[in-house]
Amino acid sequence: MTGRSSVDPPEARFPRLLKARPGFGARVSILILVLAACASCARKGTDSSPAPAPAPATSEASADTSWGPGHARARLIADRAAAAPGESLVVGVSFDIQPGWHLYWNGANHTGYPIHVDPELPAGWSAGELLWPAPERHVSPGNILDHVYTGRVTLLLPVRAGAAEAGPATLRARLRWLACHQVCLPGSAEVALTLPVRAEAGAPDGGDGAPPGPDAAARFAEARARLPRPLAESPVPVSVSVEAAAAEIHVPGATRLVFFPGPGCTTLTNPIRDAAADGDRLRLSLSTEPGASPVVSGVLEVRRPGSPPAFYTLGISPPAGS
Amino acid sequence: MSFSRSRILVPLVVAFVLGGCAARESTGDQATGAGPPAARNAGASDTTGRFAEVGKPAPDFTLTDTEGKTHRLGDYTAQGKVVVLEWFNPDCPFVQKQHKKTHNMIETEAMAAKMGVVWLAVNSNAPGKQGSGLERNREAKAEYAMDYPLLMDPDGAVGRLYRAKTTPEMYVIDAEGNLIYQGAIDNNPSPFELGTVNYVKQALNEHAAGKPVSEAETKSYGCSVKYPS
Repeated sequence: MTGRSSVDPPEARFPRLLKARPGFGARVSILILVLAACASCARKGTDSSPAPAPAPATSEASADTSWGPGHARARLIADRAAAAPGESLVVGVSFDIQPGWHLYWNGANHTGYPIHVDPELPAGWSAGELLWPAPERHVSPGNILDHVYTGRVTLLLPVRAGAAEAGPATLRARLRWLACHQVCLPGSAEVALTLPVRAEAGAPDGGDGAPPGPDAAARFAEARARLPRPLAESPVPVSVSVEAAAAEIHVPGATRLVFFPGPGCTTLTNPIRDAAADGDRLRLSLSTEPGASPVVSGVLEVRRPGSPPAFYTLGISPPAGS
Repeated sequence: MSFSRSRILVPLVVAFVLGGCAARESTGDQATGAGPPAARNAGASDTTGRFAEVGKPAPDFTLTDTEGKTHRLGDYTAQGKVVVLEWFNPDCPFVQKQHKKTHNMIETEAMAAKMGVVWLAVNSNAPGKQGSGLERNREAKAEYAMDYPLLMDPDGAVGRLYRAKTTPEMYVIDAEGNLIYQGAIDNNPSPFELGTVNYVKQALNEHAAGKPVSEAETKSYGCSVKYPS
């Protein structure tokens, strides 16, 4: 029978071993073998600016047992040690992702499943919209383009504390995600953070009442550095022209531009070819539905010599009647 | 069971299985021009017009299934069959949502079979990648009780012809050989729960009623098809 694979690498055996539910140690060993065999494949094709360096490699990071079946660890952190009644603060949903694996942004991906955050707040508290740091592009064979996170990522959830003066407030969130490497595995977690409610705020809280520390502060800083800002904040004027068949983005002085199409963006005909380029211009071929108005929405990454990469929100349609 | 009963039952079962298989066998005359000639090495460019596109003739192809039988799409079209293609990877959580957590996919296939529709699964994962290889796929076909052919496309040529990006990804081809649906199996793009709308059921039902398919193209979701690097 032709077509029978003569190679039987660990990852071909891996799924059957998973099915047979062997001991945890055996699964871990196979996973290490798979990762060792495939470590070089994970970042292939990533051509946008890299996310901040992954969590330092410690003995904890290299032993797989701590990552769990979802290949990521998640926790809630707060940008202050306590909340004042009625105060606005930011909660971070922070993921440490197993090296070699990635999680998905909530924009236009060909495959995968974005991180889902379902918050549960105490009575009187309210939450705004989740804020997503800019991802990286991940290209796979077969013209497959996804936008992913590696290393670590913190999604930011603005919340407003309840007006009532009360004791500790426990914020919870139910999380779901898909972690992919050579295989894809779903992950889920229920995370919680307890914050005292009192008159004065303090330094970032590590979570669950733990003393505030530099780790949480660093995670917030990394996330904020990659949050897209309004286009008007660009130091140079960004021109975007949109027609049914194509859009052009021009940023004078830029040495590289990357566009991450968001969930509402008109489908790009060839985003692998079009949505990232050296220089100061992108030309995006669009597949606009007949009769529909093209919308170019998402995140634009701008690289300029001597500056860190900057990220802007794009949300452009042609003027009404055009 | 007693020896005499098994002497009757076993041949009956064998005859039933073989009869069932024969009903789905690719027989009949060569297709006459149902779509462009089969391509074995589809290029990466999307501009040649040779790739699958809703509203156009579905590209013809020939693949061998896990049991060693050859299937040509054009032969089914020549018999006037509606054909469903299901891109498959036994180890993808989105596929397992349909085949293991639930049996939604084979239930949809059973409904389709009653309508005379031919259902073919295709695995375009490259050798050595997740869910590839004859052994794993034979095993999964049995485990998931897939009573329809599972075609092996290890060099990914047919996947590229159909621009299949995810598993699952679904295609419906009418009896004239035109592609009338491409996209997701349902409207919940998660590996966890089924959606509330089964797009393939919907397309087959609308088509059988003589209506145009209302949602002919949806965004597919799933794991990436593991083409060769």
